[in-house]
Amino acid sequence: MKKILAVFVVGLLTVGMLFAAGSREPQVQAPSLDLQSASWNEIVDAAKAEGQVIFYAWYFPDYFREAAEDFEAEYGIRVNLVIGDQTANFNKVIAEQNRAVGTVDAMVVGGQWVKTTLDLGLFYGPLQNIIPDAEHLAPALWEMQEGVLTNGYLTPLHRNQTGILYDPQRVSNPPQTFTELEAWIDANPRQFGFNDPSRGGSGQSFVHTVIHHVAGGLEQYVGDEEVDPAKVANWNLVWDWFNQRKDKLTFTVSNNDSIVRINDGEMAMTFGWDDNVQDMINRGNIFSRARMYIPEMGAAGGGDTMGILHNAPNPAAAALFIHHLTTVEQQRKKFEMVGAYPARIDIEMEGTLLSEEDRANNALAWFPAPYKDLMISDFVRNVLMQQ
Amino acid sequence: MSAIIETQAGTPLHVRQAKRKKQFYILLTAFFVAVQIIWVGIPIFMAVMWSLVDPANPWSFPDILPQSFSFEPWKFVFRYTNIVRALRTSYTVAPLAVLLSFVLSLPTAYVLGRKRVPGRKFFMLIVLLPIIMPGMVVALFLSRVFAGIGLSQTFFGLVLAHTLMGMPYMVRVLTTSFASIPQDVIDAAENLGAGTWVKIREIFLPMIRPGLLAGMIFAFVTSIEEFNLTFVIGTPTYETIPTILFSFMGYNFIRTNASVVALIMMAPNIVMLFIVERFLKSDYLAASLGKM
Amino acid sequence: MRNKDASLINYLMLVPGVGFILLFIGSSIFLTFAQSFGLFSITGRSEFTLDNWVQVFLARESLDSIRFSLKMGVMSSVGTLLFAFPLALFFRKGGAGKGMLGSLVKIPLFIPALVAAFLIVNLLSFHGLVNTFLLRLNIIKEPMRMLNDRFGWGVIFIQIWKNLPFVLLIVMASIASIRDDTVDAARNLGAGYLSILFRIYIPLAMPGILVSMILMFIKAFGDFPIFSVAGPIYPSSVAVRMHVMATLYQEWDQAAVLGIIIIFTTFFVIWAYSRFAGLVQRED
Repeated sequence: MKKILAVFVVGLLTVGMLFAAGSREPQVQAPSLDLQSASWNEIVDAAKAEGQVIFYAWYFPDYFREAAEDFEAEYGIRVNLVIGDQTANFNKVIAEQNRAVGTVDAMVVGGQWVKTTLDLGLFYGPLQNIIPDAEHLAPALWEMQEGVLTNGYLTPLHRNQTGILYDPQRVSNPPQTFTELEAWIDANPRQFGFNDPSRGGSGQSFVHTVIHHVAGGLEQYVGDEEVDPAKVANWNLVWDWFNQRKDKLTFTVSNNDSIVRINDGEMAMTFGWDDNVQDMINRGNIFSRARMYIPEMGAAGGGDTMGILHNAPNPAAAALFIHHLTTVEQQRKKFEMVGAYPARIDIEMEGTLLSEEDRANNALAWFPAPYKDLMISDFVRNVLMQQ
Repeated sequence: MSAIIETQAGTPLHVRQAKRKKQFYILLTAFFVAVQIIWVGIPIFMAVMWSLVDPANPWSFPDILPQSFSFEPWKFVFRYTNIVRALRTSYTVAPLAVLLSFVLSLPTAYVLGRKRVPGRKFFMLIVLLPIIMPGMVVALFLSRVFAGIGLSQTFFGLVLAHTLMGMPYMVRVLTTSFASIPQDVIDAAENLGAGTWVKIREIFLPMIRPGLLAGMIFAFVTSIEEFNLTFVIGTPTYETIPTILFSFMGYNFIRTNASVVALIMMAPNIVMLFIVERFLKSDYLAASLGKM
Repeated sequence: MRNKDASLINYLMLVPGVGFILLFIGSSIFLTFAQSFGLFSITGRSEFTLDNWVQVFLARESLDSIRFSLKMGVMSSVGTLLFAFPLALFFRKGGAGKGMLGSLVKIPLFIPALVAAFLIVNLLSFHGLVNTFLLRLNIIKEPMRMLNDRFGWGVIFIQIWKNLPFVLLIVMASIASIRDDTVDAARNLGAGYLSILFRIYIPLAMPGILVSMILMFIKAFGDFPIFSVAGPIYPSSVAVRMHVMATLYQEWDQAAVLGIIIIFTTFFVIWAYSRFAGLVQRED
């Protein structure tokens, strides 16, 4: 009977393996057009022939829905829009990475996933030479996203920026310099907080700023492709800075948690993302008196981008839709609806959460990704683990 | 002795005892109901409050309740998400998945519960695997199996996927039910000449009913909540409610809209629950032969 | 009680259940296992190495995560049972209004874990209902910080809230199959309430208790959503750790190691629970 059992198990395992491995070659349609060599008019025609585009994002359902409706009205191409979850979106395209033709045309790419997607070669590119108006989109974001070189593969969608979010009823004189922040934390224990950097970018940005001030400036790391041990030797000063203030800082579990705790009155000041905060204000999830600024001590920023999957079923329509989202009209509309700071550099904005002077003077660029990874794991090990 | 007591109190002792006992149980029930109303009611009340927050007038400290109400979060969800389509998909897939998992589980649970097959312990572990597997493995690898067979982007694939994820509950709960049927009842039926079909209809099905009800509820809930696998093999063709829920609960945690989706998701379930309970009249427990 | 029966027909009857599951799951487990040794890696590389296992066991974060999740799994499953079992006994008898209560109790079953977590967190937050209530009653002077506590009480509380009906349903089904005449016989022999509880109800309901404990452990051990809202800052649950390994540090193969560890740890705990249940039953 043992034999029957063994045959039974092995047989089923084999069949399962065959199913998993045997990538059913779907109706492989020859790429309708080589996007790299085609003229833009040819791409538009090909897009109309494809007839639909499948686009994945995970936020702003209101804006993307209306943008899709505009696109359908203008080109007669149907947009199959899925607003999912960031992790789930990437899990999906990774699961489909080996299929000749996938089910996703284009998607929004957030900072945390840039490195993974480029390592796995998920995206088609470069797009910088294909998308019209590429030169009007933030050049820094075309080149690099959150410390990872993207080489024109990912098209800027909007720029976002971390800064200090505070409740003006409880903070009359928000700190600008690093020394002022230290004094403020001493005077108002547990009223300043930031999230665990392994669970959200705004916490990463705060630790990044502390490194900037305590470990001797960010300039030294620029251009490194690997961590230089000599340059991180003094990071223990950074961990000491946190450990000495442990009882006066509040650690939160996510970007959102920080904002929620401001709304709940537990904290008065935190590091946050401007687009995140604006969205929360628009949806009534935090009081509208909330103010945000980029302090003189500096805070990192970046942006979200869009990419076309290497196995997109409708690549031309995807390119056209990405172009549509980066037009002046749509960038403006997005700002008006959800308050996301445009990726276009040729339009003037009024009523932004963060002032233009702050953006011009105080925004920092992330140090290279390897340092960021080390920063996060070292923070967990040297600060969180020691509690 | 009993006659003396009877004359003293007017009613027999055991009747009074029974009466007191009954009163005690009514009091206890009332107590549990009160506790439950707080225990379950307050969180749900909070969800309702959040779903009615006026975006122009946020709910923040020190307000205990929102200062003004509006249907904006509800309008937003219906205007900008595919909630209606998702509801339809979710509630057509779920019953089919429950049915299929019941049909597939029944013979397995019978054998595991009543037969001493070699490897029984091993099989009992195997059936738990779909829920033990981390979500990431499900999303990245299990989805490839579905795609490999050509079940990706199909309705049948979705039903199969949800069946698979609900089976561990169904099989294990039914196995326990089968195992707890006393052998003497079956023997008695066999002695009376009952055939297989009669045994199934008259003994097995009634006796596994409480377990079956539990298993069906679990399979149903699993199907309604399944996200990892559904998202990869279902979207963009099929979208279920969790997709929309997660779009408000992931990176941007929008509590107002998330509450709306959660309430939309819960409401049909709770209504159905009350109908099922009414229909079964809570006698499904007494119905099992154990109470004979 | 059971026939010792290894006939082919029994195996055939297993095919729709066990076979169906194995067919789909087997290869996924195999792929995860292979990846934990660097084979068929998601990044495209394929090279046998033990390095991933060594790395995981050298990292205190990973070990702390496994330990933490184990604690959450055991405490949540046992904790839920402590609430569910008395309720289940009550439902066996119960008075008028039991049906209503029965429906009410089951409601959390239909609330997704992530939603349950955020609703409860709402109540427990710094200026949430609980703190406000206690402040008004002058029981506390300052609001308490109850969220994301280091031990994980918040996670356990939400697990119990969400899964009480889950365990209750299974235990109730199991208690229902205990015959009244068994209980009456014991009572007639002079057994007290406690002795009926420990000699009859618990041993006879053990199969149901065991299954509910196993299923509940699996839920709490592999939990992602409840931890991410209510869990401590450090350590993370093992499922969250796995996610962070893969998506933040791009260590997909080490994430696979954690996946395999999750599966085998679960098996081990199931074995331990079953042994324990066996002991209790034999006592009878």
